[in-house]
Amino acid sequence: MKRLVSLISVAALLVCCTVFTACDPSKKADNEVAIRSITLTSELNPGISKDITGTISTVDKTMSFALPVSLSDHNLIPSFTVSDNDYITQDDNVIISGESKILVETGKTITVSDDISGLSVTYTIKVIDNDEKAELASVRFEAADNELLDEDIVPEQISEEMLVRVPSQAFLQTLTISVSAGEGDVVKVNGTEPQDGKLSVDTAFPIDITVTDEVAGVTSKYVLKVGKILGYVCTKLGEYSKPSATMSGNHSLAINPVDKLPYVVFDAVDDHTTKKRLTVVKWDGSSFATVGEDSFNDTTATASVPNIAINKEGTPYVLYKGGEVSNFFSVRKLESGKWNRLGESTSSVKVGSMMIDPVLGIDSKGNPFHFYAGNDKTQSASYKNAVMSSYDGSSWKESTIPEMPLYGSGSTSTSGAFYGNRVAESGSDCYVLLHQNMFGFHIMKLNDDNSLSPVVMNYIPEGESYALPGNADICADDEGQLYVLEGSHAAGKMQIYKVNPSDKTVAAYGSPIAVSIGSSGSISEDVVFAVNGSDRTIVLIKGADGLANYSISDENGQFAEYSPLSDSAYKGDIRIEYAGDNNFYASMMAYDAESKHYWIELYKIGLETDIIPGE
Amino acid sequence: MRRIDIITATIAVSALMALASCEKHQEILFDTPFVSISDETGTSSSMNVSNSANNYLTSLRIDVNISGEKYIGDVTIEYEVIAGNGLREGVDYVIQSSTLSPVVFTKGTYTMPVRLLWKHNPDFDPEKDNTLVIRLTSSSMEEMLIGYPGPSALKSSFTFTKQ
Repeated sequence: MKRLVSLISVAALLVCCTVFTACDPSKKADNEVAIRSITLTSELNPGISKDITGTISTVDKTMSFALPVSLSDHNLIPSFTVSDNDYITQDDNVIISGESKILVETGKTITVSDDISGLSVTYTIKVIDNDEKAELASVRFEAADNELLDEDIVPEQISEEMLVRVPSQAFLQTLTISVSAGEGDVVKVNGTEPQDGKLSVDTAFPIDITVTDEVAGVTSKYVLKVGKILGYVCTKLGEYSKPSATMSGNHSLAINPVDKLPYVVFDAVDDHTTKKRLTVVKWDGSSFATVGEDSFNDTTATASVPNIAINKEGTPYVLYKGGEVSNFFSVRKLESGKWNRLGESTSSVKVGSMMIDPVLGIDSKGNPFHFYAGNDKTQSASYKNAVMSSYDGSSWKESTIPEMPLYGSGSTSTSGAFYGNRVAESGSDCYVLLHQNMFGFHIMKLNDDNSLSPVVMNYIPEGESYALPGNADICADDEGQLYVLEGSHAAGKMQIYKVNPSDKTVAAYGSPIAVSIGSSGSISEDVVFAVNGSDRTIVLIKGADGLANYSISDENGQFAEYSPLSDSAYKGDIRIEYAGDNNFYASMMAYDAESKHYWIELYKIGLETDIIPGE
Repeated sequence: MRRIDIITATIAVSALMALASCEKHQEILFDTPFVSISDETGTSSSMNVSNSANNYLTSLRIDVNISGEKYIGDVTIEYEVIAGNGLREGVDYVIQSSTLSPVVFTKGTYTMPVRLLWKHNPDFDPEKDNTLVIRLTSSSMEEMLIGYPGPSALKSSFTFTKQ
């Protein structure tokens, strides 16, 4: 009984105490139960390098912590503040701020309870993996944000130093940049945190981008520079007129692969002679200089149709008809400042005139070769047929091309007459474009032994009966694609065809080139072209009515409006060659009808000067 | 013989003292934080710019030299721009707004740029004072020296001259 009284007394005392506590006037119900803040400090948690503040969502009842992925022990001491009279428990254990540990793992819960009102709220913990890296995820100028842009501008890759190029109308302008960074990272552009990842920036200056992972205490810095999409500009380099001589419309242009400078061969009648002789001049970067001997050929016969080629070692060769002997070709090589004749004539038979002026090629051994059509009826193998003549280092070797139809083998007696050829080099490969009367065009590859392998034979453009050889030419890009310029009689146009030597396909490429067909059935205009091997830009020059105009294609071969190449009239040849490094050189024989005076004009068509802020 | 020993010992002690003295001097030199301003290569304190150039960008660098132990928080550096009577901001030059003073170095950052875009001024008067001086004035770190340690405080300012 005594024991029962004792128990009742204790119980009563506890009840009284409880009631007394509840009625403690110093504790007022705030009707709120909330965690104000919760932080995992680096001071109390040695595995954390920087304080991590939990993100509390009262809506979702979640509490998120971005923890380093390298942190293995998630039993951590939180420092928190709560609303009045509240306390925190995890797994029914009361947690004391700055002293007790909680298990910070996704799915675990923390309950905050108010010991006056009896209210309680349970939060579910979410752990966000922090990669401890500060990385820029994306940067761009979006067309939707920038009316000066037609398309989004994005750097090729994210790196510490980035460069983008914008169209000229947007260059140096204020544009809206869009940036994003990895989870938990803070990105700033020029020191400012963008709104919704977007910020207006002055692109006249480099743009500083910093990304900070505050949890890991890591910052990465990036610089974005905004350049201009460069366009091609045409610049007149100079004029050349040979003193005390009368020049004609003939000339040829070649680029020396060693110094990347243009060389020009032309013919002229010196005051003290009556026959044309040849001279080579070189543009040395600021003026023309004579290369080797002036007027270097003999005058037994007048020299004509000069053509120059330069091998990979930088040695120039010149092909011409006449000079030492009529109706034969000769080739001279520049050696120690002298133009030495390579052997005798390049052929064993007299040569005829060709519709396409002869060109000189360089074989894989660095020796010259060319094609001719024989003009001796007694030599049926070569008469009007294509013959290749190549120099083997000591003499000229001639060979016919069995794959090509013979003269007279077509629908008429004159069909198959060889019209001439052009040459294109692609890396170490050499290709020739060959034309015959009333046949399609042929493309053959020159092998190391100077034999020829067919690539495309007798290709006749759609709607035509045969290929129209006037202005025909061939170029190559760095990827080994061939570009062939051909005339179309029926359509009254010229067209560039893209030829893939690997699968031997031919396809019309880019926009057609309007030309007129003369009464003789040939093309009235002079058209020449060259291809930038790396970006496939094509520069085309069209001469009509004595004036030359040029047009530049986009990367798909679509030509822009024509612009005048020169203020001067021209008469005779127009030439263009690609020199590498985005530079084309063009030359033309300018002509003054009143004085009947010819002179060479040389132009460079290249990318405009690059200006990148900060460089 | 004993006298030689004494002399030798004296020399040795003197050498040690001298060495200790040098080490102390180096400690002071290398442990004292300082801030400097120079061209992009970190070598020059002056540069000429041509009035014929338009939108010509120049970039300076402010370098803070602080040992890791002392770099415990952000450091703010202030500079002033002193333009001669021949130069007008917005007409002759523009400073990139994000690189204007003050320049905040977050912990671990040791170099920050100051970029100026120079503009062609058709009314440029070469007879006037066409210098523009960027002069470091203060650091939020009290002990940080302005310019290189030493009486000349080298690289505490950078001078442009527009010509």
